[in-house]
Amino acid sequence: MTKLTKVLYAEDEADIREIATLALETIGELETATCESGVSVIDLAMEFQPQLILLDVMMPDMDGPTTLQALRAHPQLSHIPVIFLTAKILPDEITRFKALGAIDVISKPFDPMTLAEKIEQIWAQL
Amino acid sequence: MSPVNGASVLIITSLLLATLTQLLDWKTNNWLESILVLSIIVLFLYYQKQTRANQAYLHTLLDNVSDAILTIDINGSILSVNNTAEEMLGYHPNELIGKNVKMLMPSPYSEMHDSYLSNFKQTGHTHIIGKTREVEALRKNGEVFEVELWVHQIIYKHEIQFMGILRDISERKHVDKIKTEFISTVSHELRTPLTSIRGSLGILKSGVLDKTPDKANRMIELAHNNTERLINLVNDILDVEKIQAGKIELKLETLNLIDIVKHSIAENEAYANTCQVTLELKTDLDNFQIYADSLRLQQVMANLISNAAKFSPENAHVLIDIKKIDQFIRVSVTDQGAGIPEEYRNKIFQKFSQIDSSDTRQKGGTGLGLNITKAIIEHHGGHIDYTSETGKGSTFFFELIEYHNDKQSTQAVEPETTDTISTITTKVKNHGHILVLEDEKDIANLLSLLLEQRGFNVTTCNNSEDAKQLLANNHYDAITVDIRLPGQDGLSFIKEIRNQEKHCALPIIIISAEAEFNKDNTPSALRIVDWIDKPIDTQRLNKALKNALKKATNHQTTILHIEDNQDLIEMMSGLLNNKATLTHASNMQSAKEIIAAEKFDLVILDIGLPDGNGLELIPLINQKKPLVPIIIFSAQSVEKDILTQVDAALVKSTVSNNELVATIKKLTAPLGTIND
Repeated sequence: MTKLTKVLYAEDEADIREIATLALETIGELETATCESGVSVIDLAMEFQPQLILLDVMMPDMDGPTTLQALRAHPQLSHIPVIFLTAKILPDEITRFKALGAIDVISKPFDPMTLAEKIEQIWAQL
Repeated sequence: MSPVNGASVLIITSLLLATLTQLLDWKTNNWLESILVLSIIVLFLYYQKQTRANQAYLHTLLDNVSDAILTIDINGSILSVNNTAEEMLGYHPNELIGKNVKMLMPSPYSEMHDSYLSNFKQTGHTHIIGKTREVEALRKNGEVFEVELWVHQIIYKHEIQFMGILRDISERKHVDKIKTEFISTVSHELRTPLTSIRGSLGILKSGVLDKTPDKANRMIELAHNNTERLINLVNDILDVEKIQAGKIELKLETLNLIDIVKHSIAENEAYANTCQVTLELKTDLDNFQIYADSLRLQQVMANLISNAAKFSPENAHVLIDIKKIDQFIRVSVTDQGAGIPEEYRNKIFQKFSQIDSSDTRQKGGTGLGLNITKAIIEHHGGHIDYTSETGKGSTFFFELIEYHNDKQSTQAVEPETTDTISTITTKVKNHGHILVLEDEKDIANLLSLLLEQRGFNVTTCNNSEDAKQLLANNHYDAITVDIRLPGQDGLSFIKEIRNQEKHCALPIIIISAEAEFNKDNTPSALRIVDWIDKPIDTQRLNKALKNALKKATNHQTTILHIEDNQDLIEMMSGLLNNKATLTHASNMQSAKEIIAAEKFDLVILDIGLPDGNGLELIPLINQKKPLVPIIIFSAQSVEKDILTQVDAALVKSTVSNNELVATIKKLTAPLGTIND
């Protein structure tokens, strides 16, 4: 597996987006692109070409699961693994996210000091 | 007209006639006498009116309580209902009076009700009296709703009646559901801002950004610690909700418990340091395999260690001890705190419990930790408890069973099983093949594990239909059945399979949270080997299975035959030759002595005995534990109410030998080997 260097993160909460960027870029040394809605993910992913996509679940316009389906249906993006980053962590919900095709679910609140490390671990297991 | 009213009309009429005679005979009698009689009449009429007024008052009261009240006789026939019952159930009183109360219960309660009553008739005991239970009731329109039921026994005119009080709790249940959803939403809404707060503080505290002054650092540290506390609280509340909703899920895998404990100690060292307490591990073991959820066990350890640290004085040691006891492992965490007064024993594992609220403020914590810890351990099939000495400290310990991951002896999955049924089959040693019918995945996995440890092959399934299909296509030596299942419930499943020739011999063990509750009210004809409550007592389960399987292979059926006719005694001996050990009693006296002294798998009872009526022996036989099935084999047929107290009633000369043997076989098969 090649080393993980580029991730895309979609999150509607600006504060969380900022912290995650810091956690991924400054602490994790990952090249990170962010957007605030599922709708923007496809265009941004085409342009940025990430190795991995992180999605929030509850987003206006287009939520995480719908975005995942749109990615899966896209001929050039369908291969990119997706991780959900969410506060919806009831067992039923987690099972549902995985059934949709997410490779893992990271629960919020996440620890910014170890977020990148956690993602790299999941990446290494692919 | 009631007998009371009839009697009063008779009295009034005779008094009036007497007065009339006296008035007509005015000249010869004293008029004072007539006035006296008239006064008696007036007084009597006044008393009558008062009684009626009192009755009406009582009726008004009963009709205006918000609970439904109904009375039934000992056979279950409805005697009276109040207005609320009418409104709650949707029936006019005329549609209820005289009918069996079963009509107001959905399945399985309606089927169980007859056995409650017959059990009461036999033993005079019923554990539902005086207790409040949550059950389901059935409205006329077919709607099932939840009620709280309270049953009281009353004696009216020397007859036993039962008064049932029903409270409609469907609204309360609905509110509970909304509350659960509310908590789930709120916890999500809380987590979102907490993500930002914890994130910012975490980064600031780490120092990866610009250097902050020491005083500011201290403030950041305080804010960060309290954010962690808030997150733990939100997590705990979510956990409690999961436990209450039965939604706690475990990711079970083979683990080394020693590693988990060591890891947990390392993780909690920092917290112990803040309490100025040292953690100390004591064990001779370096590997002990368990089948458990790693994160959940770490949560248990974190809870026990942090409690011990929190409640110990400064410079104290918290001792973590791991010991093997038989096939169990015991992990104990001992503190040097103030100890727990004995009166708090019942409260310690309850939600929101700390010894006093001043402690909560001083020591922190939500009072949810031990409640969650206990639920996690019990979901692992384990056991948790504590010992404590005031002034010296407390030891909290839990026990989990050892897991043998015996891969070499694992054989192929049984080929007969159809693909449509989701089953897990593992073979280890060949002590027997057990079918586990259990809808909760964790418990099914645990049961498989526990049984495989003891050398049984296990197949699991999660509903009655799959179980029937598996039973039809495979051989099993025993089955464990949960009562609450999706679709057909466990008890009606057992009733159904017991009527099938192939399964009348199958040993059945109930494993259910409602085992103890259903035990006394289930007919002995279902021949349940044991009733095991959840959380599962593993030793009892093992014993029950061993007994069941041993009996099925080695046990010779013993039958007590109570009969005075010598020809019939010989006939029975001939019929059951080599298939069962028969003991004879030819009169009441000797029967009573033998019943008291010996154990039997079955009693065959004649009614007409030289020194009395054989039916009088039934209560005596029904006192035996475990219950002994009874066949009445007599020249006369028996009354309906007797039938509820026995398992079969056969009339001599109308029943063939084959039928007789088949009935005996059916009633004794799980415990014996009467073969054709």
